[in-house]
Amino acid sequence: MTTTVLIAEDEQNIAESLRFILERAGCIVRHAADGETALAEARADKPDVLVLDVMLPSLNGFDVLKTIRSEPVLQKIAVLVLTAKGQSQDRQTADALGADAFMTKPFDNAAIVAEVLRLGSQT
Amino acid sequence: MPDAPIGHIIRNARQRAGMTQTALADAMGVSVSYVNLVEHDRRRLKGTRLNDVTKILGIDSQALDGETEGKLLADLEAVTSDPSVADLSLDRAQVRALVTQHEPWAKALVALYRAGQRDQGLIAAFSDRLNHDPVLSDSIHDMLNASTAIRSVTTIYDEGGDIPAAQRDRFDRILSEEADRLASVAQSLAGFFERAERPGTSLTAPEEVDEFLYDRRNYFPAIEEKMECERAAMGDTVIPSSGALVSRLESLGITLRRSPLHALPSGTHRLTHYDRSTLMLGEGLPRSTERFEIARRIAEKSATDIIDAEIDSGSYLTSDNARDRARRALYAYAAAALLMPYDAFHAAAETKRYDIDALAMDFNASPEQLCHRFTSLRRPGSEGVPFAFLRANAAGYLTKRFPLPRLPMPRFGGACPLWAVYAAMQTPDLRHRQLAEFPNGDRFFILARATRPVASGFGQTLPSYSLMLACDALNADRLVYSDGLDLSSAAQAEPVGPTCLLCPRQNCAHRQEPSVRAG
Repeated sequence: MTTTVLIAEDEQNIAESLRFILERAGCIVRHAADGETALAEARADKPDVLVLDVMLPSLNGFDVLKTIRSEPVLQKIAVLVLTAKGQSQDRQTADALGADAFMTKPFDNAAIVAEVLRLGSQT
Repeated sequence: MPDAPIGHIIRNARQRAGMTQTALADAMGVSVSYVNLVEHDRRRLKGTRLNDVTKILGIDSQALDGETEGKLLADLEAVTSDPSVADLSLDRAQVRALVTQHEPWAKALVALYRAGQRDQGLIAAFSDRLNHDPVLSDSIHDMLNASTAIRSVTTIYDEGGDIPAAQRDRFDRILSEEADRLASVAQSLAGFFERAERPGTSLTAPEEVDEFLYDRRNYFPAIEEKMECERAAMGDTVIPSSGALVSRLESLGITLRRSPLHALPSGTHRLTHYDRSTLMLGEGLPRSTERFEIARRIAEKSATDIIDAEIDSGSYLTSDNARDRARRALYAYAAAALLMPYDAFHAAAETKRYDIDALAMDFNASPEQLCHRFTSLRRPGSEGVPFAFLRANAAGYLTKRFPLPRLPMPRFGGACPLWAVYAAMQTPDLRHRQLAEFPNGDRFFILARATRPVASGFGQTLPSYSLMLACDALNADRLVYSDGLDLSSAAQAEPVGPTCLLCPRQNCAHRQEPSVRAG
């Protein structure tokens, strides 16, 4: 079954490379460049996996994650939190808010594709 | 009480003079064994015998007052108390031998220890900056994002496979953009570190000034002489009148004005404002403060060259911040020298037995100004009582400090809560006297007094302080404040300490943190 992925990332170039590698792996990919748009897309499309950057404009990644985990209809979305900070505190926050996976930038292409596919297979 | 080791100075001077112990003993009229005991610090020279030795050996009496050695001992105590060497079980008895037998090595050890402390402060400041500076944080974020995009695209290229031409063009553009971005971030970071100042330097400036003043025993003869000339030019009176001070100020091109405190350009928490051509004094200031401010500005105009020369000679003053602080301290010193001329002040202090209230009336000076001046009475041949001086603010933080060799004072934060300087805050205007005994047996007579907070208007409370003078208990009978107190060695003294960290009194109810010293 095809995995649907929403990439919430304000860095256009990263989003583009992510889209390319995930689509080549067979995923259906959408992209949102800020937190509010990401939340709207998630509510509208209910993707299998959300690749969520922490540092997003308008609504940061943690706020998006918190909202997703508070809305029953969005509970099934698997969330992979992506951060350029890589600090242990970010990881703890992500875990506490209910993230399913956590990766730091710069990521490894094969690793992130494998993780997205793993999460997609569980939904 | 234990004395600073000076026997080695006598021994070295005797050997330089080519004298045997027997010859020195004969010249002094004492036994050879007595000379031997003195040279090994097992007897203390006093009075005429001390004078005899200085004359026979041709050495300065100040070289035998033990201040330098006492200060070095206290500094080495701090080194041996440092937690980083706690495991070495350093023998404190050997510290004394280090001072007497290898003084340059002892000084080197203290210098290296201080350099280490300074560097630790610097590292902490840089670490804090690295963790919290927004410029660095943004740069690192940009760098990680750029490298993420570059790494991801190059991996796609490495893996090969079919990439449509349009997508390949797009990836090429991403690599170019992100490479430019990385270069820009790198340039920005390089500029940031070039602009970065040494944040730790300001942390040591007060310490450098302390060392400078202590090294000069807080006595500056050239400034005394210069301000004596200024005073003489103002008229015949020993103590310059307020009218003479104002006239001299105006002759130097400075206009004096008075203003409500709240209207001062420098804000409500300052008492005066000075812009090099006008001195504005807040209305309601004590007369002593007014006189001191005027004298300070006179000194700034008339004694700049002399004070700059003193600053330039201060080897401890390594930073601009420290030199500025030292310069301000010396202008205040010059002001005090003008208002309280050395000879007159020393004579009055000795006659009135350091009675602060009596001297305050004689010299139109505040208690704090008097306490400061007491510490500068160190002219060879007409020395006053050697005093340590402290000023603590309402939070208990030590805002001014002038130590004595055997009375170490903490460089940061507060001291032992049992010192009278803190008790004085609870009852402003009362004089607190205390015969204090330190853990090593040293006894000091302490006098403390806090000023009552003064408000010049609603919401305009001026800072209040507690002042403390301390002298060796042996000198306490020269102070009027010791009258009626039993100062004998059998007298009950209050047990106090230096700071909790350095105090071995483990069972003290006032302890705030564990001691690094064994009981």
